[in-house]
Amino acid sequence: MRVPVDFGIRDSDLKQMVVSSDLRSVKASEERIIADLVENQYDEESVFAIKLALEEALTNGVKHGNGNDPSKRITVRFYVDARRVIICVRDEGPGFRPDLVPDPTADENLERPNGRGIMLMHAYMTRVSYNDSGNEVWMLKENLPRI
Amino acid sequence: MDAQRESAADLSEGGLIGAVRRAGRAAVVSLRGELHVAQREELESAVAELQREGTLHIVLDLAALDFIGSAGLGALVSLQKSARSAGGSVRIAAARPTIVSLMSLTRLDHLIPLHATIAEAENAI
Repeated sequence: MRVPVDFGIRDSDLKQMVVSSDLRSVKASEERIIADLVENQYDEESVFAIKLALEEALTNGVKHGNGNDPSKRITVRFYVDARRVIICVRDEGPGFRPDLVPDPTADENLERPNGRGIMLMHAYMTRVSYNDSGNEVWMLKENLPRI
Repeated sequence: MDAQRESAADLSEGGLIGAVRRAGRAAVVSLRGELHVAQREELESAVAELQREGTLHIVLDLAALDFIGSAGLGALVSLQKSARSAGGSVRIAAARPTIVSLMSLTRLDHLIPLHATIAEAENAI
């Protein structure tokens, strides 16, 4: 569960929260990270993007990874400074193959009610990478200055 | 559209639904705050009630909606499918730039028309 080397921080820089797999607990972890974004003066668009990607990662961990079992844990590790946000979400499930998830933007998939989370994580974050099992995802968002 | 307007009704204190304005076979439903999985049932129930009353066309006013996740997007997709199966439609009006961008990124703007204003959405029905 080590932070990817090219994310530019050390493992010891990360804060950690361990929450149970229920909506209220994961919401609290989300709010904790959002508070750090606001403190570091991330703009509205960036907060929206990070919040969306984080919510998708947490929802996938709770629903698909841990099967909505409140006895199972979600581990959230994060780092926020003015230049970047790094978030790791790990569930206790067996993992999955993210490369096998269908493209939700394909015509034949547009009317599906689900299946957009991973695409949105990739779209809104600078980098997204999964461990070999697929039960741990690392996300990086660079806070680039606007010209 | 029928020129007669019923007065707005505040359906839920502090909930997702801010107000509903009925006009003939169409209604404008104003959403506020955030649309996550927890709010999905509230939205679906409100629209189902309108459909039972004979409302075919729904305009979702998103001016006060700050955030929507993929579960919320799924709810919108389901609403459109349900409306179309009954011969109606769902349109979105006044969404914030972040949500307009999200709808474009997911190509859901191909499924649910987006309009800059409520009046524009109503005129398109």
